[in-house]
Amino acid sequence: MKHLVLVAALALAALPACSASSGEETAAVSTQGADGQIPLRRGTVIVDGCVLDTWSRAVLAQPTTKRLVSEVIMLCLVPRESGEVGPRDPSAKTAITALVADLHRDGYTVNLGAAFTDESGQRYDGAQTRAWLSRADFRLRVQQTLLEASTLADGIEIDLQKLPNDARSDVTALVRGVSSAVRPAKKLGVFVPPSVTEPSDLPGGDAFDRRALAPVVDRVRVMTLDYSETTAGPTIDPGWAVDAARLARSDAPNVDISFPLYGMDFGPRGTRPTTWFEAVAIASASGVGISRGATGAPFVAYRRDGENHELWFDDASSTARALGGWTYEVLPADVGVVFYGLGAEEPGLFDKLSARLP
Amino acid sequence: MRRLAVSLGVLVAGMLVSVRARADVDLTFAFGAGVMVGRLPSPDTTESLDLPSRFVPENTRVPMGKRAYTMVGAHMDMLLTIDRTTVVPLLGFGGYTAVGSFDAVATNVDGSVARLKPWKSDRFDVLLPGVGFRFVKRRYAWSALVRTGASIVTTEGDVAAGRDFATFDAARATWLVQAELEACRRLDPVQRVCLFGAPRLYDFGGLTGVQLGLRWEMGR
Repeated sequence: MKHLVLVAALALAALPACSASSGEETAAVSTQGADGQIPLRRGTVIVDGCVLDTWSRAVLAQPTTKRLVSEVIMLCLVPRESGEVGPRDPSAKTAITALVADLHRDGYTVNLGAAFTDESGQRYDGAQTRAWLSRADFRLRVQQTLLEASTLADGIEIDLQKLPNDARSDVTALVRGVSSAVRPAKKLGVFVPPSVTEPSDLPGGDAFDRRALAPVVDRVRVMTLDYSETTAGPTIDPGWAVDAARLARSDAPNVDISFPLYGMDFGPRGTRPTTWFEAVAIASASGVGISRGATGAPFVAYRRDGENHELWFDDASSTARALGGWTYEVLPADVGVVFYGLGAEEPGLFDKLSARLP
Repeated sequence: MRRLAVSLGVLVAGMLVSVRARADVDLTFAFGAGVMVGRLPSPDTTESLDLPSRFVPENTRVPMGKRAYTMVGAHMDMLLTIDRTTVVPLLGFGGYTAVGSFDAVATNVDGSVARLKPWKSDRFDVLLPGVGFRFVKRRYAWSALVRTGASIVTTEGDVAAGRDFATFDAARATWLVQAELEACRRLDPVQRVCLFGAPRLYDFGGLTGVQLGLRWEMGR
């Protein structure tokens, strides 16, 4: 009997060594306990520009895309130093009107976004924008011309970036002015930085007084993007994005969280936005494999012209994993999702995401 | 669950009090080993996570989904037998560890991307009183009983924080109710070897697992 007990004890002691990882990963867990499901949310895509190329137009025409997306924002409008918001030429207005009508036929609502960029598409210097915003005549002209622009679509979005914190009162004044002009006939949304603390942890994060803005806008779009800015890493950390959306929601009832469709290439000379196709092509041309980071986001570490690069992007797998983790227990059902950068995504992204909707 | 445990406790206490002075009461010790199969619960983080990207408080639920497990382990038990027919399990302890090959579970911790490692799961049971009966025929005995208990399942996972990840521990406790069925063969007047089966009637949910094994009992 003693031997029996000894053998049994040794066998039991060795048992923990008999468990192991299969090396595989099974699908994520989501709402209502169904594996791999993505909770249904209000969806918006952002197009950087006034034009939808045929590829992106085809994506929006797909029924699977319509299951996830109901609204398109075209970052199309550009304020000038006078406060006049362009484009204002008749041909541009005709083209935008036709595009909006086309998207309406597919069932989308279309908002036009005012992004403070110059002709080359670069963001204005924040100090310059701040100086412009401080001028009452600038704000009034923006208000007047945005009202004109709003007739082309269903709503207006205001996308201000790189502002110093002391622009706070002027930002609020601008948004209030535009709100009084365009609402309630048209919708108004505002893009805000992804602050996770109060006062903001971000440079310029306190330029946006969310509590003051909440009553005068229809949606607050939290730009939970560009999580990794100086060192290579994922474009979004889904947990960090949740904290930013929660903080915004503590001030405003209608909040959207953002998810990037684009990638970012980190090199010694700075960062550069990229597409899924470019990322895959670089991996192929460089003869290096695609790895996955901790969030599941794919990345390519490659060398070009003697310089080391890391290119981080998202694909259907990493997107589904993040969206699946944003359960209704984590973020209430009224929090929408903004997909930023239509055209940069993996082909078939919305088909794959749609297949995981309830 | 608490009401059920209290009811069973009262029932057992009542039985013990009502045993006649001349009743034949024996104490039995049992030692066993076996396999447990069932479903892993969604655990909670056991400590707060101060990540580079955010702070996650402790006791945050980590969804597991429907993941089956196989564990092996050992248990010890102490029982009273009254008049050789009534069995009153008093107190037992069990420890089990995951065996086999498991897929990682892609999940989230409060919205942060995470993965659980079911192969690092362990389970500890404290078995509390219950009641049952025994039928003896020559060298053989069969018994069936129902008892209460408490259990804790521990596991491990990784949570993403930007490009890095952090490892965390997670656990979940439950009250349990299990049936115990056994068939024994007597080796000598005080020792028996038994085949043992214990369906978990309640264990993080109804009918979520079963334990099978062998055990050695000492007592008349």
